Amino acid sequence: MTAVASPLRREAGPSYRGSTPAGRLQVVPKRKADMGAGSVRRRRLLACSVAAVAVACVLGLVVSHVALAQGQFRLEKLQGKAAEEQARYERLRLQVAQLESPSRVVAAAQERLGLVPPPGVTYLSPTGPVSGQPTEGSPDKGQESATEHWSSVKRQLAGR
Amino acid sequence: MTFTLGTIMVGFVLLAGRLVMIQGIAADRYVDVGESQRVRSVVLPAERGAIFDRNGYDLALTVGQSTVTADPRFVADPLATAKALAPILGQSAGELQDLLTKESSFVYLARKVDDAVAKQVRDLAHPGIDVIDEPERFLPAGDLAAPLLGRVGLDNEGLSGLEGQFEKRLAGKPGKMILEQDPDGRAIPGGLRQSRPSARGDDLVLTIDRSMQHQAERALAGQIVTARAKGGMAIVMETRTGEVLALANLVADPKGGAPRPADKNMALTNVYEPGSVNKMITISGALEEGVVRPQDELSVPGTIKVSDHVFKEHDPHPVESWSITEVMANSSNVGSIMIGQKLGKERIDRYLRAYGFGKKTGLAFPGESSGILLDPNKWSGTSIGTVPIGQGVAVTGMQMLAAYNTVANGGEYVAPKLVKATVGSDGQPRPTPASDRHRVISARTSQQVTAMLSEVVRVGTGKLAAIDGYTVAGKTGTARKPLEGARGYQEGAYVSSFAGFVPAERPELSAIVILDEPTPIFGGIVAAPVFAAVARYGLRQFRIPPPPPAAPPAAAAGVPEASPEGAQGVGEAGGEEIPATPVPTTLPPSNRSKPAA
Repeated sequence: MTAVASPLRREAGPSYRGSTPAGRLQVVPKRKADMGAGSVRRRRLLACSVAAVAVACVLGLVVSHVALAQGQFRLEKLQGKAAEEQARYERLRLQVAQLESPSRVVAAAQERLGLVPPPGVTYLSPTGPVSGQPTEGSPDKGQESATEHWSSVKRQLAGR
Repeated sequence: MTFTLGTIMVGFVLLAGRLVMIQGIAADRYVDVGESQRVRSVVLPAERGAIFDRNGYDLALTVGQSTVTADPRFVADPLATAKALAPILGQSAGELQDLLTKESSFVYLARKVDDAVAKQVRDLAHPGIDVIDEPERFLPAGDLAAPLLGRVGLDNEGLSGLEGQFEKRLAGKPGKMILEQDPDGRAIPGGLRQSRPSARGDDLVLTIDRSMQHQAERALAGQIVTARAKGGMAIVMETRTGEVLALANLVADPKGGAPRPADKNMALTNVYEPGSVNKMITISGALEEGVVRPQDELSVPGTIKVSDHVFKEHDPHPVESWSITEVMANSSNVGSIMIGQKLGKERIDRYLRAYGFGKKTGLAFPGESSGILLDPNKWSGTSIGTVPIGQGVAVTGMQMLAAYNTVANGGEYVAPKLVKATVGSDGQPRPTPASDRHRVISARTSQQVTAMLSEVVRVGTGKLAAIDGYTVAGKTGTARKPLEGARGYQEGAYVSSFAGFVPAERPELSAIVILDEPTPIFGGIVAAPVFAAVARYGLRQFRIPPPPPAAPPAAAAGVPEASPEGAQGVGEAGGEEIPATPVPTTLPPSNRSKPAA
């Protein structure tokens, strides 16, 4: 062990380095030679890795651009659809308002159903006489107060 | 070799120079040119707020419509495109070609077309032709309350009525979007995209009740046709709050068709001489001042001389002993003048103004009139005879209704109200401030006047305003129309009215009906039945039961009842040829040459 190690120590020692003639072959120390081969491999690996990362980055960039473009088109499509639905909502709202307009309801009630406005409402007073003349027909159905009705309307409108 | 190298070098130098020019010296210009080709600024129109009735029903709303536009720069063949579009848009090919050859990047071809037309245009797929959305204002209930709501222009800007008055609130604020687009108009992914969204306009919630409005217009239209009137107005008000529940303005169709909405809100913009309905103010002022008492009896002759003019009743009568109630129930001109003389011109003027005459109601409606009320210092000698009976003053229908509503409201004036709330983008209604109030007469005087007005309907000139099961209080008026720009009155042209409230014992609804040149002329015959029809519907609509059985208003207020025999409406039709210049009114001039029957 010692015999093998001593020439190495000798050759690697600084006292021989300055006396080696230029251009002459010399024995490369084993450790240095091993280090050089590993370095080349590492460099190659690094280069490959960098190249792979670069390619991956380029591909990723392309993919992200494609995704962005697709997202943009989808967004536009959705915006268009939302606008269409909003327009449809507005048209339907107008249609509802037109259908329930008093003039249309009265015309339909009178012309199609043959209804007539009641001449009056008869109120019965528990402790007094009957006010008004009893007539055919029943009073309108009860309706929620204006405030309650308005609240329900606004709940719908607030979601526009 | 040297020449070749030299040429290449020169080429490179030129290229370098051009590069410096493009990238350096003229860089901004090229950037601008590039941006102008791909960066587009789009105005995002604000949605106009809707107008609702008091129950949330749409009275006016905005719906997107299709508008056909063109960018002439991209129209390859203007003639062919014009020929293809002409039959679809209903325009001549020549006109369209002119538009398509304009040196512009944007022209309207047809605005706010229906969906079928828009689809046909889209299907053509001509380059440079586009269909864009443009908002359009709709009144879903047709002409209902149209003069009140007003109009909008082609660009949806409010022009008149409430649309004009609340333009700033309804219009909202337009937004803006800046984005980069490809030649096909699609947004460039990852490109510039800046957006400032538009702010929707506020909604208006009116005090109007849609059903009540419809009934008021319907009843008024029927009477305009029946009485061959030139037009009419009807207003219904909630007594305690002053909220206007219905406001109808109609004019007769000159071609004999159904009455149509007036061009403007006459109930606020037009003034008329009220005539006998004004007697209520004279008498209530006299009662409040203690000049007369309800139980006082007046010796009322058939005529009375004021200054140099003799005033007389419409129907002659001998000297009668009438209570104040009977003066009212009879609509006596002479009796009212006698009471007016006792009150004096200063106090008459004070009460007229306290009841809201001579100034605007506070609604701030566009074109609203203050009415015409002369300063007492400028009264002529006969004014003390004319003003107490409603001549020489001019009021709007709304002012007169507010005066009667004051009596109904226990003597407290409450300013009319048309807008109940506004609704912002958060959807929360924000109520408008309560109406201004001030006391005009005491509660006791109002009770006495109410009792007298009830007698007018029970036995006097307003019998046709009676509603079965309820006690109605009100007063008729039949006033001649002044000449336009001259002294005197139009021959045979009358404005007939009825103003009152119901139930008299606990007033909930006040209303006025005014008819322009009806036949017959009497307010008690033509206007009172419309009042009854409208008020009857209102009582049912708002579920107002009759008050519990109690003593009649007259007895309750200690006011003597009018005798049915004595209440014949002797002074009902006012408007004598008097020396005082009648005030100019703004109802349409008469087109009749013969006196009404």
